[in-house]
Amino acid sequence: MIHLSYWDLATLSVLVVLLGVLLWLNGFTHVKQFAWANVRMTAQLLLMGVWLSWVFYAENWIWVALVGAVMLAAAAYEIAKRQHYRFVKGGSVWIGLFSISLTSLLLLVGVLTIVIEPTPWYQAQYAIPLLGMLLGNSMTAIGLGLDTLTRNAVQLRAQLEAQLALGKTAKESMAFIREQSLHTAMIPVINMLAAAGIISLPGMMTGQILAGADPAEAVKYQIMVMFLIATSTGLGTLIAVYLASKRLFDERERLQLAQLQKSA
Amino acid sequence: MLQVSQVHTPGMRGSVSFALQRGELVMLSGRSGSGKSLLMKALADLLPHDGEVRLNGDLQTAVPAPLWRRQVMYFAAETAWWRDTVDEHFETVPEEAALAAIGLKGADLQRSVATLSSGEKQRLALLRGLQYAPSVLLLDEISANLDHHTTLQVERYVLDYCQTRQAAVLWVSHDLAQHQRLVDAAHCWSLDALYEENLA
Repeated sequence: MIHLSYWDLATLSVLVVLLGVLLWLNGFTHVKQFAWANVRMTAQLLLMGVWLSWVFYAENWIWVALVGAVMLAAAAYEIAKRQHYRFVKGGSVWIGLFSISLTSLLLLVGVLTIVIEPTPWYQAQYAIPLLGMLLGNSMTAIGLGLDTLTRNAVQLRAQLEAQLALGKTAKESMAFIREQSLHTAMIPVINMLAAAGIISLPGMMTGQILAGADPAEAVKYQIMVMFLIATSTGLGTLIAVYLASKRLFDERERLQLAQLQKSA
Repeated sequence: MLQVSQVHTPGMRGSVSFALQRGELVMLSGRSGSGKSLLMKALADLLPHDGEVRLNGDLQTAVPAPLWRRQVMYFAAETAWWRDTVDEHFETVPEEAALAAIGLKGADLQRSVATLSSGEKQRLALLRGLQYAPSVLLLDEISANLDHHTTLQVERYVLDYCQTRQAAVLWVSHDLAQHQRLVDAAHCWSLDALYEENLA
């Protein structure tokens, strides 16, 4: 692979700075967030590079588990952060953590032990990049699904209570909101799947090809990853939507919007 | 049939106790903000509340909530619709005669909810609830947006339902003329009096 120097990266960062200025001149109000996101991305990836070299070198499952745990916690935090209405007592973080961990870990362990079968199966070189790809997409979907659900529950309170008053169960009353939430959550994944190979060349495959892998082999890996991503986002969203719907009602199936608070 | 004892929910000025018999119609009045809607929502178990409510001897808390609400049904002043067309809100299509009795047509069922007037919505919401044949009706100003003629039709329809099904009806209304029209068939209570009765 052709080596990139840190100077190359520094030169490229000028592009982002110029874009920031351009956006600012055009009245974009979130320049600070944009700048901060770029700084964060650079720092996080550099750290991850150092960290992964160490984990690869150490070949100990504890390190792999630790990196995984940090990634899961960060994903749960990001899910909660993007909510317009959050559940009280850190509920959104817990829902996010549970739904994203359950599906992505299950799929990860499954694919490592049954399909790829590296030795040992938890080998960091496979486990961590795969987990990262699953988390990135699931995080977006779960975040969108939860946000749609809670926003709609607040805005469509009268429609929910009207159904409860007619003797519908909490689950039946939420059906129309659940449909909307799943739809919103799955659209980015469906778009990604539809665009793959024609409009976009997925990052992982591109990376492998750049590193000199056989394109036919890279494509197979990519297809596997796409199936995994589609499954983990869908399952994760279903679990999150189910847990959140449950929390919105008390034991007598009364809507309790006091469970939600507007994010600052 | 419906026994209410010491029911109170935050926002109500006090607690109330009363009983409704089969086929009884009660017109309930009370100043704005005195807690009429809150009381009705508590009776339908849509709000957390203190006190005890029984239907034919069965304790509210012992009956699954959806089942209870299907029998003790709350009809809101502001109707809400969660699907696009009217008929999607009905499991059993109301009869033409029922529609005609309150000034509606069969074709109204195919209409989009967005095109309905608030008076049409109120009448359709009444039929939407009555399709489940509730035994207690809690009507929260359901004739507030109707013209005189249609109001009379709705009054007659509710009265008829109350008598033929032997249902109990608690009807909140600010319309004094309505209280007078129904005075022969109904008892007229005021919520403020109910609060005081309970204190005594």
